[in-house]
Amino acid sequence: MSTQSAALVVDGIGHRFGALRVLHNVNLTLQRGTITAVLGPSGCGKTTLLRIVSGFERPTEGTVTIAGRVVTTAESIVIPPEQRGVTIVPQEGALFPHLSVGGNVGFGLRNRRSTTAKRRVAEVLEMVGLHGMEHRRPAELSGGMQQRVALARALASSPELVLLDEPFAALDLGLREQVRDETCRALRESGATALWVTHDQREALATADRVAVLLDGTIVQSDVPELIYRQPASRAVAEFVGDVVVIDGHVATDGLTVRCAFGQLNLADSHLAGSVFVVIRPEQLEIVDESTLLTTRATVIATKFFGHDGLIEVELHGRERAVIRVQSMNLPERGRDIFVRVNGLVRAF
Amino acid sequence: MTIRTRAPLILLVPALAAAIIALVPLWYLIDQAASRGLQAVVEEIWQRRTLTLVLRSLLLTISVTSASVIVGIFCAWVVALSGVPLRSLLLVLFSLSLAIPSYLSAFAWISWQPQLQGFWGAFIVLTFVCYPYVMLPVAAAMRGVDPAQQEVARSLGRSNTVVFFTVTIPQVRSAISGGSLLAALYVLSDFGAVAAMRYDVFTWVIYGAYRAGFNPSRAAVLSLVLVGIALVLTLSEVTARGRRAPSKLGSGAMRARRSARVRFVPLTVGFVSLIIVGLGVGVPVVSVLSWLTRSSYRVVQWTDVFYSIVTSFQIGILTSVVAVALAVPVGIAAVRFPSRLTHTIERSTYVFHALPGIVVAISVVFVGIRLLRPIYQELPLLIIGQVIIFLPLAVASVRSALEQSSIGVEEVARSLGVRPMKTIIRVTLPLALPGILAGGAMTMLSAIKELPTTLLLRPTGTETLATSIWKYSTVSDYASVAPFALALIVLAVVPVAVMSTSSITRARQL
Repeated sequence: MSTQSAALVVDGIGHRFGALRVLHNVNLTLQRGTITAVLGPSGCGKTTLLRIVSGFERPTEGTVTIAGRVVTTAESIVIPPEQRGVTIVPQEGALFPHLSVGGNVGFGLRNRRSTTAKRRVAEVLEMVGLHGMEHRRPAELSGGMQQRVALARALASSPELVLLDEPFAALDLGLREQVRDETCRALRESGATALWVTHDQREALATADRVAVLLDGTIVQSDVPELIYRQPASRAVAEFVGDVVVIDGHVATDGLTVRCAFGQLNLADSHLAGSVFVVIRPEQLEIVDESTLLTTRATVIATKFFGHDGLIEVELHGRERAVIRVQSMNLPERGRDIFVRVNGLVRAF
Repeated sequence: MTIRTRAPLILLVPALAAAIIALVPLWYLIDQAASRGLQAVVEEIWQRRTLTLVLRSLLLTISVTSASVIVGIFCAWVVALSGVPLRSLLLVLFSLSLAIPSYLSAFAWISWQPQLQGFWGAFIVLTFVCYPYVMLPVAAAMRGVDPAQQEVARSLGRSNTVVFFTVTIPQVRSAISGGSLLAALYVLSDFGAVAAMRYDVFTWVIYGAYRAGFNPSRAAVLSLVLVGIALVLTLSEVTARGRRAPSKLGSGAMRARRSARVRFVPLTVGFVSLIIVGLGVGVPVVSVLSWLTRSSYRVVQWTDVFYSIVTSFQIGILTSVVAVALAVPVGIAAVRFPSRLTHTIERSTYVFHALPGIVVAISVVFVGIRLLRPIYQELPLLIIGQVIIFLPLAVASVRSALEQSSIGVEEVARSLGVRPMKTIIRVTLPLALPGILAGGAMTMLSAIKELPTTLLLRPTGTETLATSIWKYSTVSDYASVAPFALALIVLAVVPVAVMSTSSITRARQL
């Protein structure tokens, strides 16, 4: 990955609030025109990272480079926020309540009253699906619409980089997916480079080109969504991104298989030895009718019904427990014995 | 660390000018007090009559403040939580006390109950003048308490009354302490009521010492003691407030309030409310109206009344424009560019919050004679004096208006490529404008009501509504007072009504 063409390079950023270490050796590179999600639980330092990139916070270590220019170092804010070409979409939108929708969107444009500026405002409003709403007041808009105005405002000046801080957290579930998809489309249509922080792994996996997982103040893995899910770099990543079943296991001497409560399973990578945690995705577990060499007998101890699918919790003979995702059509009842087969390769840490 | 840009010069220069103007009285006081040496100052303070004066002032301040807190909390509960009908009307009626100057109210009581004077006279008048200072912030804070908390407390088995004292009151405590500080400082610095009631406290004695002209340094020493008391009060309120940071947990939207049904008989609440309104507003208004019937058209000099109105407004508008113009840079510098320098500037405008108008007037006279000869006894000098007195009021309202606009939107503006100063002009000020205008209206109203500075600094031969009322009242010519007093009350009603309702509604929207 070349850093020459990168829209944003975050290099070795560390940050403390007094004695509290919030960020630690954070490295991140964003290629032009891509959407990167920074995924992490609440309180992991995501917002602080965004504030450092946008220039409202000075890190205690490291540098930030935007389009080849160093904008922030630990010593100083080299380029102030207003000269960076980095726009932000905050969680609650933060529209200017005293301006109309058009006034908000055109806020950062030069010669706001010119016809060029007005055309640009109309163009970005159309892009976010709010065609012709220039004269509405922010207070008249629903939460989802306000958020789209905030996005249009951030896109209007064709910035180097758009930062989105949990932009849909304040919206309710149904609306969130719709606005998320529209946002994604608008970002791609405008060709913008976007850095998007979220704690919602579904949101991150579904929309971003790359996902950077931020745990305990540092980026533990940065990859395309499929690899984050399929090849998590650590047990913590596996547990944070998607559901997992974790059981104790022991790697065989050849290093290719692991022995655990589900029997002898094939490992995805072969550099491990000794006692390990075996990490299995629920969808790898399949309930079968008959006992074979590859199945394990288990007793259903609880079921959870979600509508389109469900989870059953089973107890294996080793007294270990596992949760299996199944179609809700055939949720077995509690107390029944079933046979479980593990499909595909498993990972261990 | 969060990035703190240094305040630009374009803000700092006017802010510094405001601080310097505000510190003029300090210069005078120290100069005067020091002119006879430290020994003399200490002797002056340790005199028996000075100690008596301190005790009398403290007695009046503490008793009026306590009474104002009780009346103020009751009225706040009535307008914010009780659910009695016509609450908005009651709010305006309660607040109207603010529109009536203390000296007018005092003369109204004297003309109704001539035997009333001294401590009890001052106590009654000042309590009904001061309780809105407690009521307004407390009512706003009560509206801000999430009704869900009160419901949760009730569901846990507490009665309405117990909930009020254990859930509601603790959450509005900082509003109560802030309001009682305002009331206490008002009592300390009030001149009109104590003068009319002939109750010897600091302001009245200082005025005497100045007027008699024989002892300016005694006036200065007494003023310094008064400033000291005010400073102690302010600092203790700040420490008391600092210990309990108000906190709101969670981000859930607050539900619309459904007023609790009045468990007390609504008639009782209504009756008590009407007594408060009657004593606070009724007595002066009815007195003024009865004086008016005594004055025949031949007696009333309508042109005098007209010119007084014009002069009062001229002074009021000029004062509020200058005060707000100085307060805006001070407020912006303190709120948006916090540094030791900007905090010092802001605090120096507050130092003389409780400084009686009389002291300010004397010190402006002193400076006027020494430095500003050409405008001595001219309008600009009066405006400077008024601005010094009301600058804290303007700074406080600018400050609270700025604090209500979130930094979030300003950061968005900067990320869109707008420089800090431009952001202030395009985002911060427009958002704070309603609050700033309300502060301006309040400053104008206070300047129109203001008496002692106007008495001492007005250009020779000019009369304002306040000085006309004072002139005729002191010789008990109430028939001549009536038209001036009526004009003052009528003109003050509108800004007070607007200010009181907007302060409550704003709290509800937050």
